[in-house]
Amino acid sequence: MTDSESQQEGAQPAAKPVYFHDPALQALYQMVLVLGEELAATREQLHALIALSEDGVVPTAEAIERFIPRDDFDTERADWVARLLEPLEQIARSRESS
Amino acid sequence: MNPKPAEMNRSTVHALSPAQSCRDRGRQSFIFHTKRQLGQFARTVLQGEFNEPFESGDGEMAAADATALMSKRPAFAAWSALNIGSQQQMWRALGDMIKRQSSSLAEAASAIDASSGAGSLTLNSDLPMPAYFQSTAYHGQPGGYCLDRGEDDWLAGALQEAGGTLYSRGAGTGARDSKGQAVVRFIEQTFPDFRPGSIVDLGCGYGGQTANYALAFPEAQTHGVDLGPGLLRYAHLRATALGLPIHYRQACASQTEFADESVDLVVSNILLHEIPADLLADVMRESYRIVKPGGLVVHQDVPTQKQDTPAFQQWLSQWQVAHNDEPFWQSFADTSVPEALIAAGFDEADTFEAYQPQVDGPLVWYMAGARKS
Repeated sequence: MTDSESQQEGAQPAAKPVYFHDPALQALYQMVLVLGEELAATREQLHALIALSEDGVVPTAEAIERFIPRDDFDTERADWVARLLEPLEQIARSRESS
Repeated sequence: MNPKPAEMNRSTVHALSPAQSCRDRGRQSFIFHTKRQLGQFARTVLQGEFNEPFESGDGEMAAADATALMSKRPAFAAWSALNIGSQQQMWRALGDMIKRQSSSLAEAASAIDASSGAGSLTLNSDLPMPAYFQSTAYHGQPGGYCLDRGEDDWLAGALQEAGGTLYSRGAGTGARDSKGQAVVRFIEQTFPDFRPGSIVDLGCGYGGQTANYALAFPEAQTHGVDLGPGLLRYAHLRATALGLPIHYRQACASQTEFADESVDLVVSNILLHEIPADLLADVMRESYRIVKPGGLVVHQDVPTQKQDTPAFQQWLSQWQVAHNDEPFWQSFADTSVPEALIAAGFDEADTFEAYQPQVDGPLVWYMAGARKS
């Protein structure tokens, strides 16, 4: 591959270490994150839809895109991620008690 | 052209900033909060587990042994898997946002009359690309900094700006933070009489920090140098859109083509930990060559110098090498920048090392440089 061709594709991220005896477990973490992200996107849209409806605005796709949530909605986002990651703490606690 | 902003930071919006849809906001907020909470987990639970052997009387245990021990801990394995995953998600989410708007962003770029501004862009298609630069996808950025899909391509710069912002926000940095402003503050505090007439920003990337120097020292002629053509095209469009007269040039930071002793201020922002150790020495020699007598060199980077870094932070740094496409992080941590400056020609008495607080965030930056006698 010439320099020019390789720059068109650019550099590719290096392979990452696998920490589990069964590599599928690492893939499962990735799948959970993707599901979490998708749910977060859906929650964002649902929040916009409900807020617009409560304000008597027709929740068109354009209105949803334009909608800016209140700052305190970020606390809800943080709480949801904290709940998702709670088992991490449980892993650590189970080692301490064993 | 946008009105020239009063300051440049992580929230600066310009003509090439992609619009965030409702879905984008949901996806990126998820990644942001995941990164924040994983960082918190590292600083509490993982740090506690890491320090356990030291605190339980095994004081002679080497950091390498602690690392080996940690790699067997389930909490560390889960944390690593989630961290790797969130970084991959970040690039996917930002890439989706930018590529979805490729037509409108291309129109916005076309509407920026780059030839009308007082700045310039000089690319060199014959410039040989170092192997390390072509093979490193820094922080996992798709295509890395060398990505160049054609003569109008600036995706590398757009990804670097968006990725840098989301990554640093997830690491606790505030929206008003700016590495360039931290350097400017350091100069104002340490060399209050210093007013440069010319500035060169080495490894300028998408131009976010170069813009800060142009704004802080409007009387100076400001230049940015980088290897990546996609970064420089974006930097040039961005500066023009913001009304900043910056001259961008494609060159290696070790061979800038500026004349001997022709520059008042030579700066770099988080360049040194992204280049091999031998190139770092060359960059110091080039800094010495181009800076005028009485001129100033300031290299800003991550605070990983061993003498000031707790063992846990050193271990986390090693994590960056293996997991976050940072192949030179450790060699930078092992390097004495002042020694490299002295080897390049600076007098020892003229060199300095310092730690400067972030403008908006809990971290400190490492600063090393010299004022040439």
